[in-house]
Amino acid sequence: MTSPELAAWVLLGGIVLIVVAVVIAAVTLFALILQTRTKPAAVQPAGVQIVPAAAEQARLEAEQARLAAEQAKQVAEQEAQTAKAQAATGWQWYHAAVAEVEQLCDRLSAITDIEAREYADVTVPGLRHPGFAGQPLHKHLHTTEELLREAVQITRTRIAASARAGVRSTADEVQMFLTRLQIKIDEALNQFSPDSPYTQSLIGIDHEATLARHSVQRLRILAGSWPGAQWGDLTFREIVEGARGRIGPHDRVTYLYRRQEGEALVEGRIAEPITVVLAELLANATSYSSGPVEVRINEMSTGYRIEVEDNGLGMNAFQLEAAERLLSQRTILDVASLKDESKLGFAIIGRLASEFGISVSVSHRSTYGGVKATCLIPRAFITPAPPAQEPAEPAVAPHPAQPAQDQPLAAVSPSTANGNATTPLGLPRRRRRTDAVPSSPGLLPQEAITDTLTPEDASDGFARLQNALRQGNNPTDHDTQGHVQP
Amino acid sequence: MTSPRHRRAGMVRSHTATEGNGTLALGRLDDAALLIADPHRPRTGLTAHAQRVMDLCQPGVLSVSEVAYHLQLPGAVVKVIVSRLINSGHLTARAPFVPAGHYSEDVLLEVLRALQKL
Repeated sequence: MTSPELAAWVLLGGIVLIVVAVVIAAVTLFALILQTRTKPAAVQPAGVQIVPAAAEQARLEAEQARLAAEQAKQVAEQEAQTAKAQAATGWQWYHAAVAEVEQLCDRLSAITDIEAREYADVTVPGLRHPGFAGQPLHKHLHTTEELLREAVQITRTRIAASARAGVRSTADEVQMFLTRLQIKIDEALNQFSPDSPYTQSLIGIDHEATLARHSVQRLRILAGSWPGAQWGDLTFREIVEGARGRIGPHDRVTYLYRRQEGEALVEGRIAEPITVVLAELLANATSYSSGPVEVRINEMSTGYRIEVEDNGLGMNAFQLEAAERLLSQRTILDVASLKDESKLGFAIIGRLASEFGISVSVSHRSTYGGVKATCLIPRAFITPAPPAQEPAEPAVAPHPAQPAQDQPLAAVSPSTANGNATTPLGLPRRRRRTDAVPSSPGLLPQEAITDTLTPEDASDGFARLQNALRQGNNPTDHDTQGHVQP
Repeated sequence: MTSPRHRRAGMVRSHTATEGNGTLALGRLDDAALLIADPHRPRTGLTAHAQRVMDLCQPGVLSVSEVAYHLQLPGAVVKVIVSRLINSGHLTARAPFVPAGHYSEDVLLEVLRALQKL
């Protein structure tokens, strides 16, 4: 039983007691009055003394009980006030927390826009009530946000990885088929003479196949694969002409060929990366200008520099900065990075350049007003061109031992514009191609094996052969000088 | 010699080397035709491959097929390049030798046998 109830009961008891006491007192008073009328006031003082004392006590008790009850009521009221105030504060906090969770929904939505949709200019709203800063609620909200970010990142990484793997394998396969197609085209072009009606068609097909192969190749490079072609050592001439063939408007590209740089050999393993890089630079130059694009190669102290110059409008500071940023990083294909196709070129260049140690820059200004892109290939990858061969003079006299009857060659057109290149018999003179002999072993392997015989050497050889025929089984004569060149 | 996995042929495509035009500038050009370069003719305006052909033919005489080997380009493509150079006077073509007609089959067989003995 609570104290207010107890107090009420006490109060009630007190009131009852008071009533009983008053009734008793009244009855007693009435009896006394009757007694005094019959008996003159003999016991009056005693009766008067007893009755007021009891009543007083009862009254005092009642007063005490009332005070206690009053006090209890006040306490109860105070407690009720406090409880009410607390409830009101709690209610306020509850509403604030709900508002904060509502705010969390907005924040998660903003994070989704930033992380998943990659929207720019989205800001994540802060706390609605700054009072929550540092509170447990704030920490929980922060954890929720981090979980969302993590989930988006994990999903993106996994999707990107599987997309890359899919793109890579498909692109590898398509490129392989297209390379085979190119080989078939070359075979066909070897079979048919240029006057055959197929040649022109084959050349047209070749262009389309080359463009298709290049498209697929840039995809596979961005998907993290290697360029996918192995070459022997190639000259800059072959690389520039190869790269030129990989873009649509190849006829707008002029290669200012110089023998000294053009015939320098580039190591086979970086020939394809350089060709792809150059093709991208040419594609960029031809798409941002309408005039001719010039390619030249300069020998520098650190290596060889390929320069691609166009006469377009050039790039503004913002474009230049974006291009240089892409060139300097290793971009890997992402689900989101295919959306801007025009920027893929620089991404491909950046990736190949960082992987193969080529440095590419587009920040030079062309003398024609456009962009001058440069691509520096370190000297370590390059074998310089052999020294130039002067036009040959008839240094050797006609072979004295040349028997006229052994001459198997028939002069078909004796008239010649260049007397230096004929023998006294009016036959074209074939000379040793000294420039084809490598100055060091392995320098020019592709040229070393096509050494040609002079007619004199050949006839010498045939004379020896004739001797061998006459002598029959003579195994001692093993001189094959006429057949194998040093 | 480079291995087939490290080839040189195929890098330069036919449409680039011929500038997209596969027609012969001459009536006919034999694989064995011999080419003589005119060293005094200016080379301005020549494509890279045309200049390379001039360089190859400068020290001596080369046949069309030899030029094709050096350039690692299909025969038809080389013939287009060479025919243009002949047309512009940079190269002079000579008809190929016809050596086989002078020998009888017996002699050739004898030669073959002797070669096997060597």
